[in-house]
Amino acid sequence: MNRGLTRDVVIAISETKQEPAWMMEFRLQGLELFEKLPMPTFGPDLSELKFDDLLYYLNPVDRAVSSWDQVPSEIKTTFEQLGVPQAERQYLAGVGAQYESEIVYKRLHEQWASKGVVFADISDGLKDYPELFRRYFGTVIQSSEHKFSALNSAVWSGGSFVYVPPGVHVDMPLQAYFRMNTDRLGQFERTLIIADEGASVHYVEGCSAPVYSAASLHSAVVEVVALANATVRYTTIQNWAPNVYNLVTKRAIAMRNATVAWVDGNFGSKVTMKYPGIVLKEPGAKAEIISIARAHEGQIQDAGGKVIHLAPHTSSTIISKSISARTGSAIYRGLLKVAPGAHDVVSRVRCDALMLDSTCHADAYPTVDIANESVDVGHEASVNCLDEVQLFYVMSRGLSATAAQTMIVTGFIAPLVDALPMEYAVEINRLIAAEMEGSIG
Amino acid sequence: MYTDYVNKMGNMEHNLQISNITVSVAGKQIITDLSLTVPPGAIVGLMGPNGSGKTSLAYALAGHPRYTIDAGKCSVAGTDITQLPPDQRARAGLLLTFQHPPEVPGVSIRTFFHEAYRALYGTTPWIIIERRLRNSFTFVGLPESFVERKLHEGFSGGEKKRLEAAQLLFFKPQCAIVDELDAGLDVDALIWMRKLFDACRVENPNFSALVITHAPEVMERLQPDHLYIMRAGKIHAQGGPPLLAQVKSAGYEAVL
Repeated sequence: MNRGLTRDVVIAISETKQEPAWMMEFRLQGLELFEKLPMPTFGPDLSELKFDDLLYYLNPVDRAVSSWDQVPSEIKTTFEQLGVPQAERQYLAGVGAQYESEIVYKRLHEQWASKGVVFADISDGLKDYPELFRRYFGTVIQSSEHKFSALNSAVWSGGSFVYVPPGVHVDMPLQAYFRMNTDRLGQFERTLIIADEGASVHYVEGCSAPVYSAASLHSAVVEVVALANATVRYTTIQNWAPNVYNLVTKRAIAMRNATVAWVDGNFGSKVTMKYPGIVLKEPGAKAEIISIARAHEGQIQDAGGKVIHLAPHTSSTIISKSISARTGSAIYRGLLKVAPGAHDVVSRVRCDALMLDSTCHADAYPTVDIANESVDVGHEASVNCLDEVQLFYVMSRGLSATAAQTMIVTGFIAPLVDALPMEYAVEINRLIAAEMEGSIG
Repeated sequence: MYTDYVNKMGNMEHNLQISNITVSVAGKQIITDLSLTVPPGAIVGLMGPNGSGKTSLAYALAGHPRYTIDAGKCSVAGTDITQLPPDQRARAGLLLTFQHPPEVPGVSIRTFFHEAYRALYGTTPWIIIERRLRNSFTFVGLPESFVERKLHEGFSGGEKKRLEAAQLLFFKPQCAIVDELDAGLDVDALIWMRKLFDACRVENPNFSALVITHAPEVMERLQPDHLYIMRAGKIHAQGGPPLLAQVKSAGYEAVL
């Protein structure tokens, strides 16, 4: 398939995937909107992003496979390096891993399948659960919202479809490893998660990517629907190569007494723009957003969270911590909105930024829009340089400058990291430590 | 008698030997041509009115980034530490207990003590370090559950002092600089301070301390082997028990 985006490319993607007519129509509408909508008018400079140079679809294997033996050996090696099979043996409920644009390896643990839990490639979700899929797909995030949601609607490929039936608790996290592997390959995965009434699920998305010579674009759309009394937790560890534009739209809708949590860790990429959102649509719904960002060497992490309280008696917490060093920029961008009818709302927003040297940059743009007087809203923000007295104190007990900085930074993000599954907590601490090794001469 | 002691030790390396140092902070000279000696096994007092430079001296010795030693030389147990970074001063055997230790959010006391101990003494079984940690907490009256707490985070003044005191026993320094450990502690704590030094000496017979306080009663209870009095960034007087008695009865003005 050629580089660049045309109507023919969109039609070819849809035909390759043997999609129903409504989906091809949905994609073409997305393309029209993409062409019409302007680039974002806020945040980092995206002018180096050349849409015509990107590949919009790539199919490494004909279809997803469910047995390890069927996975091509080159891909297997990559997974072995990532430790996927080991991780699976230990506690994974299932693995859907994206290699280039298709899911090549997925397996659903039998006990979840027997309870009716669906954890599938998104295209299989469309094929196998057409009614359920159509009822929710595109309802949480509209194609028309901005240029990148439109782009994803036009060319989406790969991603997960998750459905958890009423009352079912998936108590081991569902994990997907994403890996982008071809130069100038744009990745446009699309994930749809539906937790039915009283269900609970934790979905974990982790990314790692090798280094490329030309800029790549990763522009995903993730939609989450938490029906009454459901609980959904979505954890992302993003560690894209330093030439990747990571422009992602994620939003959840929480119905009566439902709880949604986004745990969002941004470590890699050239530019990230990502503000996971939660719409609290019915009374009793709860939102929690935890955002950890690390920016270094010219990286821009423009991240945060959005909560929209549409119903009374809803509550939300947003906690953001960023670390920047060596010309990196970490920006918190958040929205807290309370609709006129949403009384008895409780919300806490806290964002802290830690700068490790004088070449980096940190900022906070919290937008608060409250149209109801009966609310309890707290907001705290801090931007600090690494405290020289803390560093002196820790070093005075015998720890080297590197070890002392690592300890202080690890402590700074500890309240958030402690909330993660062990494997990811370890990975984050390792990423932080590796960063420190290089930051002190 | 102290001078005899110092002279007798003349051929040995002193735990702390400060020779004619000048210290500045932000370009301003705050300590001038100061010399001081702490022999192995000795408890040496450092007193003086507020603003005389006692804490500045302590910071300069431990390697505070704002304090620079512009002239002279300091050595700890034979190692010249004058221009070393703080961690290498610690490895030479120096430990400063902070008058106002900073909170280090999110870092657990256990992690901090274990990692620092290994940085000083190399690989050591976890249980050995843990036992030292618990013993030192018990000694200073901190509950064992405190090892789970974050470093000085949300501590009361007294708890901070006790956590600093525990480190004297835990880290086994060759030479401790104890800065106003008594401030904020009750009378009972003053009694165990002396016991704490004795316990440190059991750990390390050559343990010595330079104890900073401006309370003569505290100093008297510690029975220092020698006493220095500072004023305006210089040593103005030194001597044994009679000097301390003089400060106690007539104040600094009488001796300066």
